[in-house]
Amino acid sequence: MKKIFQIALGILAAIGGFVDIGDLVFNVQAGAKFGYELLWVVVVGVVGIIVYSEMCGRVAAVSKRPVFDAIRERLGFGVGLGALIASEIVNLMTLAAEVGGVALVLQLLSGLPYRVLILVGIAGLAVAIWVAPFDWIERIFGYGGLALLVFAVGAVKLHPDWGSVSHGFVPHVSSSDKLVYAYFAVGLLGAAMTPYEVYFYSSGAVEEGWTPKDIGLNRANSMIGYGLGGFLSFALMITAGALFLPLGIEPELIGTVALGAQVPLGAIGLLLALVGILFAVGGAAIDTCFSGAYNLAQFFGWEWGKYRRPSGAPRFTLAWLALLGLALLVIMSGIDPVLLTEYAVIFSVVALPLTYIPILLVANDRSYMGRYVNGRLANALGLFYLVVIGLVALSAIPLMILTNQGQG
Amino acid sequence: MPLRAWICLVLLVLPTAACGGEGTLSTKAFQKQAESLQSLAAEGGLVAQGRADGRATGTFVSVQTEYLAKAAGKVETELGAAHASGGLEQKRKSALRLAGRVTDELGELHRAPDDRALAERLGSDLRDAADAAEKLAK
Amino acid sequence: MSSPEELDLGLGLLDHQLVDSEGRRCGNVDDLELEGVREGSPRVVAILVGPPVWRGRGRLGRLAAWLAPGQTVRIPWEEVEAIDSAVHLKRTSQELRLGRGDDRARRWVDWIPGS
Repeated sequence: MKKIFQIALGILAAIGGFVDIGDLVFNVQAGAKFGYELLWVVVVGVVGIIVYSEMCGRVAAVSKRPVFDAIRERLGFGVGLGALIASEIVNLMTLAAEVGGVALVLQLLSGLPYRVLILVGIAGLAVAIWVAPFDWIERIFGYGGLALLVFAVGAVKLHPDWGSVSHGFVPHVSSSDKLVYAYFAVGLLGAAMTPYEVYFYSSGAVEEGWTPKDIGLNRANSMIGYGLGGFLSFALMITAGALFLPLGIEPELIGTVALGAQVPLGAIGLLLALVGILFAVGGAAIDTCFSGAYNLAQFFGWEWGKYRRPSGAPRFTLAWLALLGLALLVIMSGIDPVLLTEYAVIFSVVALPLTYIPILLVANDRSYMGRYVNGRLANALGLFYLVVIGLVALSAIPLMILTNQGQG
Repeated sequence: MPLRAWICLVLLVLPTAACGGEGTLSTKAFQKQAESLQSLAAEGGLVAQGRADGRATGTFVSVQTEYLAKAAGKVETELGAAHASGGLEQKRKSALRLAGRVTDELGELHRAPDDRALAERLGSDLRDAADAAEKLAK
Repeated sequence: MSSPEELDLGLGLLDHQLVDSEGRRCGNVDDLELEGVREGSPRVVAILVGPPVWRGRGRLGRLAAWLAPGQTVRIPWEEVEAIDSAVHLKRTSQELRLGRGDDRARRWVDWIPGS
């Protein structure tokens, strides 16, 4: 009985934790531009993140080593440092965007000035991280993010053409604007397969002391959690396709996302949407912030982990504090969080192979993994996604430039 | 190293890609502006209707319309600064007037978010503006 | 310590995490000191840790060595207890003079209440 409860908790936390500002922006924009035609890409992305994080979780449970240890070990110091720098830049951009997103939602809820709320947001996040135990943080932000399920209810209430919706799940390429379609496909995959989520997941596995016995449970957790998180992405895209596309609305604001729940469900829908976005994006900010600190500490061999307490892992602690500080500077400069999100997602896709390949190698290394080494299914999927990631990484920036970030 | 090359490429190309076309207005650029205007007006219409029906909070309406008004103001400025020729110039002038109207109405909504009767009227007006912008974009 | 199996120095040793006798993480294997290379029977004599060692690890390594403070610590091979995915050492990091970066940083962190 306790096991079922544990699984349920984990799933709940994962659903809310799956959606971040990148998913919000890209799923809603994709829906507003192409209706339901990109739903199948979300499926590819969700399966991809399941494959990727399952490998990382397994590696962490068996070897007690998280992702960035593997990166340095397999790529060496020079290339590994390059991967670290790229990851940290993307982490910082993502973190700044998420902090900005938090401030925007707080503004929509309270009416207080945006810049003041940036400070409030950063302070709130810092205090939450400092004071709350690791699993509490995950639970609170995960459960809060569940409010996003309002978009699923809203999507149904908007009465989309379910025939078109189901057609959207069949892989196909749009007949018009092929380049812009490809750009959004790349963005959606990047938003679903966020690297920081994987760094965080694998470091969390070590923080929580997973052993090989925990592999089955956590595989189930991540599959169901990410799967249901993907379901939230569907809801966002269907909402946008049903509501924004017919009206020609191009979402460029966080408030527009919330509007997607307000129109079908009224004030309750609006408030639940805003609260859901607040917790989902706030939780993502914490994950991103920690990821940045984990990566640095793991690459350089420092002690790390929330479970070590701040004075037990001083450089790690200073690292995440410094990241919050840098994110504050970036977002205070006035850069639009939604625009920053678009760049962050695209750049993270470009850096993705650098962190995916070492994990695929380590997961196949019998001396590391013993009998938990990749089986045939894991490798078939792993190689398939290696190809997907490679294609996406190569085409991301050219597509971004050619389509002027999806504007066409 | 491939990553370094990509970063250099991006740093070189991004600024040039971002530089807009000031001065002469192309058909495509005008179309983009008209579509933006349609989007802003349509969204303004939704927000206003939400307020009129009492289904959206005043705070949300006030904050969202401020951002929408700012964006509409940008469209107005850009349309005002550009020049076109022939039939396109006529359309530009119409769009400019429309953008001014949309910006003003969004501003009104922002300043008086709790006036539901006003929101009803503005909502209907913004929806008309969105239709007009859509026609201009075609 | 002698290992009955072969150990791939590149994959199995270099860049791996160092863990002291108390389970504390205290750096990575930044480089290895070999002896007997010219004679054709190379042996690992010591593990080298620290920013100055990065100079031998590529261009980014040289840049990192230039930017980072810290000294080289030499750990004789006899100090290695066991090797799995990490390199486990026989003594504490304190005794081996590792992880001093964390000691320096701790002074800053201790300022904040609740650490």
